[in-house]
Amino acid sequence: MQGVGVLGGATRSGSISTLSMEDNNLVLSSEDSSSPDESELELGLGLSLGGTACKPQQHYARILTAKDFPSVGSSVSVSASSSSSSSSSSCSSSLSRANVTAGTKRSADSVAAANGASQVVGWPPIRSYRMNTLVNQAKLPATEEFNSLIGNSKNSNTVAGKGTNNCSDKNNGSAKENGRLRSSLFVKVNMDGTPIGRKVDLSAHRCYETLAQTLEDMFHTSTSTISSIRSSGEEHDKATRSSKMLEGSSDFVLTYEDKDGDWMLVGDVPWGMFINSVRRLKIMRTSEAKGLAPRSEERNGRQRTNPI
Amino acid sequence: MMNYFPDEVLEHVFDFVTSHRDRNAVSLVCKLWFRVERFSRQRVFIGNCYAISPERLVTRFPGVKALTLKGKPHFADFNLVPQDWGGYVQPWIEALARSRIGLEELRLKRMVVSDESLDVLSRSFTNFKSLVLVSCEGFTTDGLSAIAANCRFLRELDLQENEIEEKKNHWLGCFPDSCTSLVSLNFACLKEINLVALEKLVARNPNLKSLKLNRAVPLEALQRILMRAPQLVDLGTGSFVLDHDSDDSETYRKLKATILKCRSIRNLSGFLEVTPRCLPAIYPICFNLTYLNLSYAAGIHGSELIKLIRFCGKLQRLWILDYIGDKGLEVVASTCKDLQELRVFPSDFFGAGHAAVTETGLVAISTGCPKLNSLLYFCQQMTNAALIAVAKNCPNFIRFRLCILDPTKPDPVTMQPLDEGFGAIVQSSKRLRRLSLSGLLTDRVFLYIGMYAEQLEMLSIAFAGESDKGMVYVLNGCKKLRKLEIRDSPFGDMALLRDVGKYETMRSLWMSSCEVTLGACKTLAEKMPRLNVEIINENDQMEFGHEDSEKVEKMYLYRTLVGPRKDAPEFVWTLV
Repeated sequence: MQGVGVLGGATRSGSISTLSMEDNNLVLSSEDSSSPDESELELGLGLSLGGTACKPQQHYARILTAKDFPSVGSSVSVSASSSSSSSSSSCSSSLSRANVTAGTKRSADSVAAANGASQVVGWPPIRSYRMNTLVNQAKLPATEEFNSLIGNSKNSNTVAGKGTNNCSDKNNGSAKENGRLRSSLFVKVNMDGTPIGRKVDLSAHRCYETLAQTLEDMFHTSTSTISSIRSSGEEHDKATRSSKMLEGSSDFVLTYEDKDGDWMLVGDVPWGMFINSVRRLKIMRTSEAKGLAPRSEERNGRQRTNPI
Repeated sequence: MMNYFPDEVLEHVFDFVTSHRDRNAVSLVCKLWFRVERFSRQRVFIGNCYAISPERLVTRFPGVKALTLKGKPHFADFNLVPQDWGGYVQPWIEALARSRIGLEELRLKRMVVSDESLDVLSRSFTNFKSLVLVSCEGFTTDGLSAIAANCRFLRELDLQENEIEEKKNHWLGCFPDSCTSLVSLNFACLKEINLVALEKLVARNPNLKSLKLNRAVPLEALQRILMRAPQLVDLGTGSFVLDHDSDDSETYRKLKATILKCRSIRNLSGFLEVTPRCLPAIYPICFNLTYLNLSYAAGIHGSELIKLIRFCGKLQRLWILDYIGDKGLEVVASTCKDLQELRVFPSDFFGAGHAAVTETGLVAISTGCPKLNSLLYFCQQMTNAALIAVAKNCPNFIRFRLCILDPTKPDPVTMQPLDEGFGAIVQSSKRLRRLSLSGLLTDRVFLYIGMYAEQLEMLSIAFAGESDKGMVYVLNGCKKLRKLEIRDSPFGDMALLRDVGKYETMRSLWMSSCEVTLGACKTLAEKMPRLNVEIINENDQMEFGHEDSEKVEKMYLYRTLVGPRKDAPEFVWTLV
């Protein structure tokens, strides 16, 4: 296996080198229902609590997950402050912050923290109105519980967004279970030239890189690679990890059919969006996918529109 | 010389003095000018509703017609201020109503507004024309019904990002048939609307220039509304979605044709839900747009977004989600040469780490858009080199707000703090009035801010600095500072008490999760009777005593002429 899949979120210094040693474990686990991201977080926690490479200043509450909150005596600093007395006080104060939900709108942050998303209260500084609106629109699977908590925390009977609690109906197989925010999301995958299709569980992934790696393994494309996994605005350091999936040079491109019936190149939209609209995947020969530029409006022939 | 002129002449001269600051300055010249100015003042701005009382407003400015009030501290937007903290508009409306002031315009931000307040408002001022509510809460659509029903000459009802409880009433239908004076209507923050009432309302209000719909308005209705209102200048679409089942090609065709007639649209927003393949319908109006707000359009991304931007060559203000990416920002930079304001909002709050925009995009913008003067940029990372380049390319910043999603992240290339980068910004943009910092920052950045940011009025600090010196640099150096808000930074008593007189020259100071102790706050409150020093204590304080050495979780202090407020909840202590 060549190249290393880039895990979402693994862009922080200090954690990269360690992860590469653990690659085999992480890739193998990508087929399981547990997300590789969680194991990455666990590794990160292991490092930070052991206090190896990272200096206290570089820690902040992102590294804390719900596992940390019950243990009040944790030494993990939550502020950028370098003085130890302040870090312990702000640690405890942020713990108490996380626990106070009555009468405030911060239940959203607490939930996010409890989901392992590691939120600092009030950060990023976005108006709660904006956050609530966008979360409802994006209908990220992880936010279904978030949304229902938003509804409960308001001191009124405002409906928490049109269609908020209907997300689960629209999402293919992702019925919300108690305590679990995601269940399986199997979609069919076909590859040009391969008569037998496969299925892949999208909920086992949190980013395009691991998905592409999984598909590569599935279809044994050792000589040719699946390309065109592009996130807009990817950082330069991703390229240095020499993932074949990030380069444009290959025989195949990964495409998907969305819920409108349109075929699009995988990688253009944020993962959450993709998960919510994908119906099935297809690994197309690059030559055949030429006409399938995502920028064109002529994808499905149903609408011809002429820009003026 | 001016003393020999009759008052009417002075008043006429003062008519040309319109900004609040200038009028405030005028009123300080002499008693005569004070008197003439106060009787002729029509527009009053109160940045902190607790700095003065409604009674004093009414006494001093009996002719006031337009009032702006702001309530909660800015950090309330980010859930740092508990519910029921305060900021009630009721006493203001009551006082204005009692004194028979001819109020015509009311603009409120971060205040608590009740249905009763709206009802009293609607009944007390016969010429009431304009209500603008921004980030307010506490009312329902019943209050809106009162406004609609009773304000006979209403021109503007603008609801921006409020928390409104929606009842089953059809408040929009409460506008009487005789209401034909509407110029501006914005209900984008509501979830429902009565479509029939809406279309009728639009049909009988030919002066409507600004209309912002909510997501309950489907595409078909938008088309009919635009047919009635081709004169719109400012449009916020609601739902921009075509179902497959409906006769969509016909609707779409009609929409395209109708939009072609809307030649006046200069500001476009909304797209709360979108079918991207409908976007070409709006391409014809893109050419003339000066303001485009797609910051709620989560359905437009990637190639469609970029294609849309390419049509908008005259944009001056662009609000967008970080779906645009660095590549997309390059397109903006090459297309929107007149760009003055850019806001890039994050789409991913929970940090799954999807690279959205970075320093690359910002540098591209600064290279292509030298007129840029206002920036709000949420990004994954930033480098000193990029900030230095931006500072060089764009020396005209008035507002510079950078938010790195990981708030203590250093320059990823050099692993250095971002002191030098922000230093370059403040040094080059001599007219900078508002600054928000993020990333790894030492005291050095505050040294630069104190030295160079001479016009700075508002500074937001989070997770920054190393010692009291940082805060002292700012308090000493920024002579025009009005609002300082600090969270999670190691500033303590020494900095707080260093120059207590400074706070009377400012509107307010917020410090949370810093190193400030209760004792220091008490000292400050004692020394400065014209400051309200409020401590917010959300935990159950019965558990521990109140040692002076105890660190204060949240402190908010502000200058005031009317002493401690009487409506403070029990978790807010005003120290005296």
